[in-house]
Amino acid sequence: MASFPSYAPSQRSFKPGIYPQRTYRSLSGVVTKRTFGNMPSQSALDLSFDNVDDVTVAAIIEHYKLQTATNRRFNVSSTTMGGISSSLLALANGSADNLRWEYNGPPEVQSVRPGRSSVTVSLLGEIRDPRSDD
Amino acid sequence: MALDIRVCQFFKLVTAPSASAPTGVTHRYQNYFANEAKLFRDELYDFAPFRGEGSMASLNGENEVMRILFPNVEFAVQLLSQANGNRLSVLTLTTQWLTADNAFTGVALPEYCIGIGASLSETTIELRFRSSIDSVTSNFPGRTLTRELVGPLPLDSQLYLQ
Repeated sequence: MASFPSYAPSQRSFKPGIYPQRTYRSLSGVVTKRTFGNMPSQSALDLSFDNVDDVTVAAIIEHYKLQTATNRRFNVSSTTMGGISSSLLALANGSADNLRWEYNGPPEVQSVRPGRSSVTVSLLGEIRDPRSDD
Repeated sequence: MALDIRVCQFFKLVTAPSASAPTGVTHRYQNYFANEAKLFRDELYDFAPFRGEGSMASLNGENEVMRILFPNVEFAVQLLSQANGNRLSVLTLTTQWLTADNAFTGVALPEYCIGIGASLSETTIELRFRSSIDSVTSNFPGRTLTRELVGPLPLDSQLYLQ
């Protein structure tokens, strides 16, 4: 497993995972929730790297290709999660919920000037598979 | 607070006896505790993301089909190959209700089924079962037409069942 390239993002947003639940509402308005599992999944981590050199963009795209082609999930490094306090770090990087990251779609690249680009990456945190994930 | 329903299904399948496994091979899976081996009634159940569909019993004893769906991955294919295509395997499917803290409640419903076959798609393996204990009806026990019962048939004959 290869970790996400160790670059500090310009912007980062995080959304915790959701529990596998389905809600049923009766005519009386009473809500029943059916829970299908004991762990949350589908957490989201969006990263933006603004005005970075094209070598950085190429490294991110190569990582995307490698991980997607082999269908392997990965961790994010402390550099990527830099600035988050220790009390929040495990929740943000998915380790508290035993999550590993995969690409939600290909990175989006916008050219800024010669040799410089901005790239946005959308990651999805899924439950770690002990057979294939680190 | 909303009404809370948590259910874990425990799947225990013993394959039909064969030359290589005279007493059959036992497979045990549960579908609630992700990637966890769970101890249930002194037996260990691995995690597998399966689900059950269909009816387990009916008033008229129609012995309807119940299906268990697995993803088409390596361990599920093994389940199929070792069970001779799920023919005559014995399934105990226990539905166990859980508390909000994911502890077992005292309520569990076991069902006993017999394998009648399987089918494969690109993403799913479907194991089909019928209940092993069914309502008693006029033609109980159900009989299967065999060569011994019917005898040789001409190719263009019609058979009337009464």
